[in-house]
Amino acid sequence: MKIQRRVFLKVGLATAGALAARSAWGNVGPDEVQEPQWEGVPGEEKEVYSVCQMCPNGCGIKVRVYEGRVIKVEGHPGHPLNKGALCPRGQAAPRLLYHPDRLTYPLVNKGSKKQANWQKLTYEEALDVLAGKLHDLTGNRSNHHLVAASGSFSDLDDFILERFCNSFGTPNYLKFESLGRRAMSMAMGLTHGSYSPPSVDWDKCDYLMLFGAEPGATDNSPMPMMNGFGKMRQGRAGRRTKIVHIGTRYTPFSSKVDEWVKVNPGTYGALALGIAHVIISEERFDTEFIDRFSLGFRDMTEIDGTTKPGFKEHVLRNYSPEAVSSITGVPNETIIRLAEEFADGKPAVAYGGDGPASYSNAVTELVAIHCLNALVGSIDVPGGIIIQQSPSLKKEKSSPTDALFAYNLKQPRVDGLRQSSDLPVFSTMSGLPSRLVEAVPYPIDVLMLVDLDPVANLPGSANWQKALEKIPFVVSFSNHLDESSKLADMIIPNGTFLERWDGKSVDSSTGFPVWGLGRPVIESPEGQIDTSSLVLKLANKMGDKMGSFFPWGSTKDLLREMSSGLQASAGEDELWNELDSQGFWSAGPYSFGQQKEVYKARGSRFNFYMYLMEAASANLYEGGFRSQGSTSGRLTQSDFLPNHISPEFSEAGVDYPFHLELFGTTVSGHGRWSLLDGLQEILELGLNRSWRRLLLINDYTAEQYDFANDMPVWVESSSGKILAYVKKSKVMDRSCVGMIFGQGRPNHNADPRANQTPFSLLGEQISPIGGGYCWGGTKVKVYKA
Amino acid sequence: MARWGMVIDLDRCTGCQACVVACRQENNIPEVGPEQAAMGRGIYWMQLIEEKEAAHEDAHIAYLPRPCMHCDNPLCVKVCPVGATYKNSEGLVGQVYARCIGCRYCTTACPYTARYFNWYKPEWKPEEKKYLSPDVSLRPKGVVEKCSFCVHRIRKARRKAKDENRELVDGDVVPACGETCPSKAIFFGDLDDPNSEVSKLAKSRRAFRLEDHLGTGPKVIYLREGEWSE
Amino acid sequence: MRQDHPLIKPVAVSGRGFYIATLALLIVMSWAFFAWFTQFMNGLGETGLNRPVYWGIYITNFVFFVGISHAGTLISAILRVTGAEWRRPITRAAEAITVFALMVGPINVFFDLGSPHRVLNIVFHGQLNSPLIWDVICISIYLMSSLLYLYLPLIPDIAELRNAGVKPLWFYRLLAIGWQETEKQKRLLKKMIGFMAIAIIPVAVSVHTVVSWVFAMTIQPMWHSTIFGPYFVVGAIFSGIAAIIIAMAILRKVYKLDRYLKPLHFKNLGILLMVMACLWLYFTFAEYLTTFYGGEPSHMAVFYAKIAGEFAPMFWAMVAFCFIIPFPILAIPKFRTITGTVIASISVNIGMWLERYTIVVPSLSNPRLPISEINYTPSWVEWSITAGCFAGLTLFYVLFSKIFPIISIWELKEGGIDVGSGPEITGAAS
Repeated sequence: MKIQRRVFLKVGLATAGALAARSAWGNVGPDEVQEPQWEGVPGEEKEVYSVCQMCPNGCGIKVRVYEGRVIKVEGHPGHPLNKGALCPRGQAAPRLLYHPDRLTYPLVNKGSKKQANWQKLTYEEALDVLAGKLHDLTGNRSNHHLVAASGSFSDLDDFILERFCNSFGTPNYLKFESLGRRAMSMAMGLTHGSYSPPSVDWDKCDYLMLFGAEPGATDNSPMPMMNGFGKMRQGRAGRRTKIVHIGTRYTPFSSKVDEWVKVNPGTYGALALGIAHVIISEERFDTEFIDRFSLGFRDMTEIDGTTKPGFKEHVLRNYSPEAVSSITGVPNETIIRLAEEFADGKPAVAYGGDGPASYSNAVTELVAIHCLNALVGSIDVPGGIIIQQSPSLKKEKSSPTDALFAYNLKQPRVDGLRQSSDLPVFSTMSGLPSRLVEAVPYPIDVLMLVDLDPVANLPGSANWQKALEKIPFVVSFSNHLDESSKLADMIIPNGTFLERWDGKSVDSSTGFPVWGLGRPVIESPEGQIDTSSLVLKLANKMGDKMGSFFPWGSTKDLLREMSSGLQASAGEDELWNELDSQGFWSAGPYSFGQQKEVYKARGSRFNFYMYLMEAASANLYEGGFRSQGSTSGRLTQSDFLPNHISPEFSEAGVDYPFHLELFGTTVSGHGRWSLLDGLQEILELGLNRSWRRLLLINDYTAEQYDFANDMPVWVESSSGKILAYVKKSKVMDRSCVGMIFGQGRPNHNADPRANQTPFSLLGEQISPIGGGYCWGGTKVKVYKA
Repeated sequence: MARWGMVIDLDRCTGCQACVVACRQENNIPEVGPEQAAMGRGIYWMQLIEEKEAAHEDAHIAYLPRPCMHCDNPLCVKVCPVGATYKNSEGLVGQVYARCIGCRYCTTACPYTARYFNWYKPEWKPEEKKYLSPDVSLRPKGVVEKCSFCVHRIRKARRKAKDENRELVDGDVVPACGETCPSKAIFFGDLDDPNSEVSKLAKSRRAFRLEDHLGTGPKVIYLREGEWSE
Repeated sequence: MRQDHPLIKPVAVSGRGFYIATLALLIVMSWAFFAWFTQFMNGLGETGLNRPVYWGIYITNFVFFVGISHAGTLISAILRVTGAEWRRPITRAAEAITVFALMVGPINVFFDLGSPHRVLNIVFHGQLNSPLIWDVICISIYLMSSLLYLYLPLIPDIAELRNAGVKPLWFYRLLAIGWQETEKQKRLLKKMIGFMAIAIIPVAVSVHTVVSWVFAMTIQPMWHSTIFGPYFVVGAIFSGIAAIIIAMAILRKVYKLDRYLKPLHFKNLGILLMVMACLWLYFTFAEYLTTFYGGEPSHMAVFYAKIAGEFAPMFWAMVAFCFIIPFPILAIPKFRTITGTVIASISVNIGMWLERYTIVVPSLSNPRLPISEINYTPSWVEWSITAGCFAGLTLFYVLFSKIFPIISIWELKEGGIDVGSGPEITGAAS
C-alpha cells in the first residue's frame, strides 16, 4: 500500500472543499430564516382591570391573565393617574402573588414564641379563636385593650377596621402610613386645614424646587412625579422646566436636574425661609395672592384687640441669607439666586419630600417649604400646588349605643394621640413600641396586625419584638412568616390585592377625585379570605349587636354601597357598571378656584400664622414640643409661624460619629417589598450591586478605617446593630454613611447576621405633630465584622 | 417590511428601572440569586448603565437605559460560528436558542456588552412558574440571550393587523419597556416610515447613538438632555 | 538493529518509572475529567467566568497549546528546508509535541462551550464568516497534515521495530505498510516528506494567525490590532521552541539519550529561542507603544489595567518570564548550557501562558461601556482542567515515546550518521 502524493492532495482538497461547501450550504442568512407568523398560544387569555396596591397612590392596572394565572401587570391605559404606565414595583406584582413562601392556610402557634410549633387551622377555626379572645376582653370590660394596627393601603380595609374598632369599643385603630406621609399631611393640615400630602399640577410647572424629593423613590406619588418629570422636560413644545434638586447627598437623580444644591441634614426648611427672606425683601412676592388667599402674612390685629406677628416681619427678622447660609451650608449667593429664579419662574413649585420628612423637625420644615408656594401664588393655579379631592363615598358612621362601649372608646389611645382642635398631637416621650412594652397607658391584650411587619418595617424594631413577645395574643393578617408574624400567636393569610374585591381612592396628583375598583383577577387559593371579608365574618361572630353594624353579605356588596356616593347624578346601576367595566371612576378635570375646598383652615385661606397650632399649643407642650425662642420652652406666638427648628439627632458625639442616611429608591421604595426576588436582583443605580445590604461610605473615610469594598461591617446605633457590606462612594459626605431601605432580605441572607433591616437602627422618635416617624436623625458607628 | 428602531429620550428618563423590571417579567428572565449576581452573572436584557465622569469630584452619574442595539451592522452576527444569531429582514438581530452552542463569541464581540449567558439552568420554583408568560420561550442552560425588541409583540401586532385586514400603523407595536415607562421616555417604531414618531425623533438635534463611530449602526437612538427641541 | 539499541530500548523495555509516571498522570486526568463532568452537568457556572469576562482560562489554554504546537513545524520543516543538519535527532520529538498539543488545545474550546452537546452544529451549520470556523478548518488541516508528516518519517523506524521483533509485532507490521527500504520506496518517501515539509509551513502560519484573528477580528480595545497575526505566530514559535527544549531535556535524562541529544542541540535551540525572545519583545513593545501613544480612552482603560491596574502583577511577571529571565541565560554563551536553556524554557512557557491570559482577560474586563468591580477568579474546575491538559499532553507524549522511537533513526541515517545496531554506539549526531 503506497500513499500517493497526488492521492493525498486530492483527498485533502476534496475534504476541505466539502467542508466549505457544507458550511456555505448550511449558511443562515437573513432570508433563509423562516420568520414565523404569530399563531397565537393556545389557551384562554383575558385582560382584567384593577387597582395596584404596591403603594398608596392607587394606579389603575391592566392585568393579563392566561389560563387562570397572572403573567403580566401593565398600567391601565385610560386611568388618569398613570395613563397606561406603571412603576417597577407595580410590574413586580405577579411576584407577590406567586411568592413561593406564601402561606396558604392559617396557622396557630401551639408552642412558645421562642420555640414555635405552628399548627394548621381552618379560617373558621381561626376566627373562632379570635372571636373568643375578643369576647374575653368584653367580659373583662377591657375592650380598649385591643389594638388593630394596619399597614394596608386599601380604603376598604381602612373603613372596615375603623368601624370594627369603633363598634367593638377600642380607640386603638392605628393606621400606619408610608414613611413621610404623615409629616407631609400635617404640613398641609397646618396651613390648609386639609390633611393629605400636597399634589402638584406637574404638567404645567415651569420651575421646580425639589427639597429632598426624588421621583418614584418613595410611596408618595411615585407615578405622577415620574410622569410629570418627563412632561416637564420634553412634553411641551418650546418649554423645559428648570429643576433644582436640594439634598444632603448627590444621587443619580441629582445628575439629571439642572442644579443640585447641597444642604446640611435637617435644614431644608431653613433654606426655604432664607429664600422666603429674599423674595420678601426684594418684593417679588405675589401680592394679589397673599391679599386674597392668605392670613398672617403681615402683622395682624385680631377682633379682640390682640396682635399677632406676621410671616413677613418674622422672616425678615430671623432668616436672613447670611444666617441661613451658616445653618444650611448653602452659599449666600445661591440662596439669593434661587429665590430670584423661583419668584420669576412662575408657575413655580417648591416640593418637600422624604428629605425634610425624615427628621424630627419634619412638619415645620415642610410648612416652611410650602410657604414658598404661597409667597409666589403657586397654589390652586395651573402648574402649582393642587389639593387632592377625595371621592365622596357613602360611609355610614357607626355610633356605639352601649354606654360601656362609649367608656372604652373614650380611653386614651395607646399611641398617645390627643386630638386637639383637629390637630393630631402625639407625645414624643416614648414611641408606640415602648408604650406597648411598658403597658402605658394600659396593657394591651390583643394585637391585630394587618399587612404590617413592624419588626422589619418600622423604627424601634427591638421594642416591637419585645412588645410582640409580651402581648398575650397577637394575630397577624399576613401571607408570609415574616419577622413579626413569627412572634405572633396566630397567622391568617389574607391574600393579595389581585385576589380580592377592594376600593382604593387615588391619594394624590390628579386633583379631581378618582376611585378605583379592585377585583379578584384570578381564583384565590382554596378557602382564602381577604382581611375585610374576614373582619365582616368576625363582626358577625361577635354577636348580633356588632353584627348589626356590618349588614353587608360580602365586601362586594359593601363596595357597591360605598360607590353609590360617588356621583349623586348617576344611577346606582349605571355607576356600578361603569366602575365594573372600567375599573375606576373619575370626576375630572380638576377645576381651579374652589377656595373652600382648597383652604379648610381659618378664613378659608392659607394660614401663614398657624391657628391650628396655636389652638393645640397646650397639648403640644405636653407632648414634648418646645419653643425655640422662649427660655421656658412654652410656646409663644412666633412659634406658630413657620420656623426652622434644629433637628434632633440620637446620641451625638464621638461614640457615634456618622449620620445615617436612610433612603429609598424607585426599586426598593421604603423596603416593604424586599421579599420580592424580582426586585432584589435589580442593580441599584450607581452601585452595580444587588441583593446585598450596602453601606455607602465616603472613599476617604473608608481608607481611614481601612475598609475595602464588599467587606462586612457592623453598623451600630444606640438602638441596635446590623450587618452591611461596604461600598465606597465619592458622593457621601465624610460625616455620613448611607443605606438603602429594602436591600437584602431579612432571613434570606447567606450570612445570618445580616437578617435585620435598617429599621433596627432607628429609635422610636416621632414628631409630636401628627406622629410621623423620624428616620433621618440617627447616628451610628461602623466597625469591621 | 419595517425597520424597527427605538428612541430613548434621556431628558425624560428618571432612572426608575420600571423598564428593567417590566422586561424581566415580559421575557421570563430568571433571577440568578445573590451569589451569582455578585459574580456579575445577572441577566438584564434592559439595563441602566452609567456614564461616570470620574474627573468631577461629585462623580457625575448620568445613566441610560441600554437594550440590545439591534445594529444594522451587527458584530455579533459576523462572528457567530453556527448562525445562531442573525439579522432578519426587518433589522432585528435575532437569537436562535436552539442552535446556540454557547461559545460566547458574540458576547465578547459586542461592543455594548448587551448579551447575556445562562451560566446555570434557569430555575423557577413551582409556584413561581405560574407567572411565566407563554409568549417567550424559556432558555436552557448554556445559551446566549438578549433583548429581542419584544419580537413576540411585533408578531402579535402584525397578526392582529392582518386579522383586521389592515397594515400596521405607528403605535401598534409597543415593547414592554416602552409600555411601562412612567415618564414616556421610550418610543418604538418603524425607522423606515417617515411619519413614525421614531423617525421624526431620530432627526432631532438632541439625537445621538452609542459608540456610533464604530460603524455598528445601532438602531437605538438616544436624545440627550438639553433644551427642548422637536 | 537489536532491541537493546539505545534508540529502540525505550520502546521495548519499560521500567517502573514509566508506570508510576503514567499512573500519576492518569490520576490527574481523571480528576480533570471529574471536574469537566461537573461542569457538563451543572453548566459553565462552575467556572469563574462572568459578564463581562466571558472568556478566561479555557481560551487561554487553547491559544497556548495551539501555540506550542508550532514547535514541530519549525524544527522539522523549516530546519529541514534550510538544511540545518543538527536538527536530525530532535525532529520527531518536536513533531510529536505538535500533534498532541493540537489535540489538547482545541479541546479546550469544547470545554468552553455552554452547550457542548451541540458541537456538531459547527459542521452542520458552520458560518464561513466566523473566525472560529476558520480555526476549525485550519486546525483540522494542520492536525491532519502534522499527523501525516509525523507518520511518514516514522515508517522506516516502525520497520526497524518490526525487524527487531518488538512486541506487538502485528501492530508494527501493519503500520510499517510493507517498508522494505527499497530504492523506489526511499525515493517516494523523500519526495513526500520534502513536499510536506514545504506545504506544512504556510499551514502552520495560517493556524496561529487565524487563532489570533478570533480576537483581532472583533473591535474590542487591544484586541483589534493588525499586528496580532504575526505577533501570535512569533509567540507560538517562541513557546514551541521552549517546549521542545523541555521535552528534549526530560527525554535525554529518562531514556539516557546523551549521545544523541547533545549540548550542541540545546545550544542551537537556545540561540533560536533567544532570537524569538527578541522578536517577541519587539512585537510586544510595538503593540503597547502604539496603544499608549494613541491614547484612545477605551484602549487606555485596558492598557492601564495591564500596566498598572489589576493585571499589572501578571503583566510584569510575563515580561520577566518571557524576556528578563531567559534573555541573559540565552545570550551569554557561558549560561547557554542544557540546564540554562531548560530554565530559560520553563520561564518562557510560564511567561507565554501569562501572555495569553493577559491578552484574553483584560480586554474583556474593561469593556467600552464600563462595568465596575466585577473580577474574574478562575474556579477549581478551570484549574483542574488545565492541569488535566498538561497531564494529557504529557501522557500522550510519554505513551508515544513508548510506542515509537522518539529519535528518528531514519533521519539520522539519512544524514549519514552511523547508528550501529546494538548498545555500542558509533558516531553520535554531530
